[in-house]
Amino acid sequence: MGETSWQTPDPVNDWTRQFMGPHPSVLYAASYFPQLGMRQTTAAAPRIGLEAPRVRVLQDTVRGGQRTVRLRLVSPREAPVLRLLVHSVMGRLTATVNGRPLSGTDAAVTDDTSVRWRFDYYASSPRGIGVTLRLAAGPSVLLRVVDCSYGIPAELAALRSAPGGNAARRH
Amino acid sequence: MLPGGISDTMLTEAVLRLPPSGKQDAGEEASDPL
Repeated sequence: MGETSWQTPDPVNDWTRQFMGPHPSVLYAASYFPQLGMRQTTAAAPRIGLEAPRVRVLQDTVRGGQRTVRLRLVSPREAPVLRLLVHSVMGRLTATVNGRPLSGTDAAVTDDTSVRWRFDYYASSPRGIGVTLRLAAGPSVLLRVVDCSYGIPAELAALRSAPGGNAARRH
Repeated sequence: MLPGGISDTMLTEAVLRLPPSGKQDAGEEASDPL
């Protein structure tokens, strides 16, 4: 079973402090917000039985020095956004999603994060999406699939004051 | 944070490490169950 946490790339305010508690930690990672830098504030979160997204490898072959990986990504909780992140350096990478091409990119270009390539897919169906990656054959490839839904889980948000509510106005 | 200014989001993740290419069975293709 995995870990659960609260994370925010923003300074802790009255709203997020309700969840984070008085002593959150600072984490340097690009886990969920690679576009927003590496510094995150984090704290332990309760488990509420969320099911992680599923990723199934349908094909992983090499031909002529090119590796082709075909995946099926599904969000069991039917989150509206599916995200695929590639954390390995591998040179040029091209991809299709449900048969439609995405713009290619040089995944070897480095920045401050370990994320080398990513995309977000909105309004995913319960069947999920099919992704085909084409990249140079070589070392292992670390993939992360993240699904995103909007808002705080009702059973947790109900215990706190809404943004702009009493807690925020006290200061 | 998702594009569009939605700041409260719930995320779950799965991690998969593909082995070095050549470790898998070349030419083998699983059927799509969906």
